[in-house]
Amino acid sequence: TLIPPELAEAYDCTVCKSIPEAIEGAHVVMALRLQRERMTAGLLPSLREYAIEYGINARKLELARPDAILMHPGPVNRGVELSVDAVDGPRSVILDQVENGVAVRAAVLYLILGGEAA
Amino acid sequence: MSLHIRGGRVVEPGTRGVSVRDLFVDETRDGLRVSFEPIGEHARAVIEAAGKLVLPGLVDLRAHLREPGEEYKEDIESGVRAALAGGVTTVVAQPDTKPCIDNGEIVNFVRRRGEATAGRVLVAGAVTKGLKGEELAPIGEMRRAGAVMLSDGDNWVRDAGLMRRALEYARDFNLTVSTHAEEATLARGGHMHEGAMSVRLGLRGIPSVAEETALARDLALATYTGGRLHVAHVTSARAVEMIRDAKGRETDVTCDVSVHHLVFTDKDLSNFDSNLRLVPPLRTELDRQALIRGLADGTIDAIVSDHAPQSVLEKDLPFHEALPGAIGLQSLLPLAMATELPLETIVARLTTGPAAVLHSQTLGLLAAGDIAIVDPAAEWQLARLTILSKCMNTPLTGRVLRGRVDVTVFGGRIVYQRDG
Repeated sequence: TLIPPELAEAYDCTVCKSIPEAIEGAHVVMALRLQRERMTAGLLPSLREYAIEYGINARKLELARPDAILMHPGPVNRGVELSVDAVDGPRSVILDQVENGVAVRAAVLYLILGGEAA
Repeated sequence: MSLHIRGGRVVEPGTRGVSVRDLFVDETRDGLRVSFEPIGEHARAVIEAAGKLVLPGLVDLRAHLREPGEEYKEDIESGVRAALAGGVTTVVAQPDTKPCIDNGEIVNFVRRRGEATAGRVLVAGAVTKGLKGEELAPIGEMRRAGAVMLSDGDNWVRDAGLMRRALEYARDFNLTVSTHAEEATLARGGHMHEGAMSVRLGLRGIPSVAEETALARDLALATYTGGRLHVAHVTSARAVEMIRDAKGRETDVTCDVSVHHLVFTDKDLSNFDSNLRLVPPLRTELDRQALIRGLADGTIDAIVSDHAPQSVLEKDLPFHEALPGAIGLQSLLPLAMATELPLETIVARLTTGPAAVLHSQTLGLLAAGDIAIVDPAAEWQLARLTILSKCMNTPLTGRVLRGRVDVTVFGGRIVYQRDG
């Protein structure tokens, strides 16, 4: 229910019905934070159901390629979209991602405000 | 003063057809006479109309004149002035004013304000008190005060039992109930059509089923009660099919389409122009083509302007925060003419079509003495200097419009003449 009906048409992508289906053979697994407001909009039965069905944990990650990385822009709802063993696991590059993200945002703002690229 | 309109291409759908003729408008002892033959010696003002179209004054079934209550956006006088400049001599004022038109007193107020203008203002009264969808408004009282139609503005009557009563009750007063078919929980939070475009633009969408489910209910109720239903501003292809089907089965239903929906689609929203934030929303090209086909085969009875003035305060905002609507009285005809439809069909859907929805035998015909003389080749633009409405919220800025009204006649008198 969180996916708009026309997503596949708009972005030329594949839409899967389950996490294992989507993760299988992936090079990169990118998770997004579940906004709690979505819960009250009747889109999901409960957080618990979401975590069980759609949460990513280390075991589901094993379906990805051995060298796959796990990304998430943060902040992570631990135990909801990512389990603790996924977030802190060996594939996770989340901390680097967030650090890089701060730098990229600062650079974009700098350029928009009229700064010049070095 | 009598008029002699010389050498124009007279278009009167259904009765006199299309022909190049002179037209004579004479005030006689027995009333106004409009004919192709001059009868009697009258001093006549001559209007040269060679190369121009001579049409019955247009009838617009849906315009929000904002008076009473929001006169900073528009009032009845300025709205009619804009209408006459667009060749529209009859406007049906929507009841979503503040206070809304839900009793005889306010119907009277609007009607009298309309009489003080140079055109004709007909009043649509509310279906429910306060447009709240809870209790029926005093329909009989509004009818006696002169209301010609019922509408709850841009609100769908959610309570099916209440809508049933409205259709039954109004039927006995020979009034049509107009519905804005939009199921609120399906449309909730949406700002534009739900589709590939809304995904790309990141805006929440209003799916076509919001219109279709509401419409299905209203058509079923209209069939069951034998009441008169009018469906306002149809936008989806499936909705057109449903109405075509219902008409085929003799349900008493009519419908209209808003002129902007004939020309724009959701693809035009990529620059987030809040002037294209409309309710109901612009849908896809396939829907637009279905609307055109619906007009061509008569499934759709009328084209309306849905003139909805919004000031800069309401429009100069992020797309999803802006209030919906665009002005449209002045551009109604040229926009309609910019579509693929043949001229006679366009004129019919702006004159005899709306007149039939109102069950009027006199509107939309030249005999009423309401005439618009149009230069079909004139190119112009809607801009600050040309817009007569109090508000400027139009998506047509910078767009060249072809077709401009030169002269508008109302009841045999010239009420608008283009300068220059």
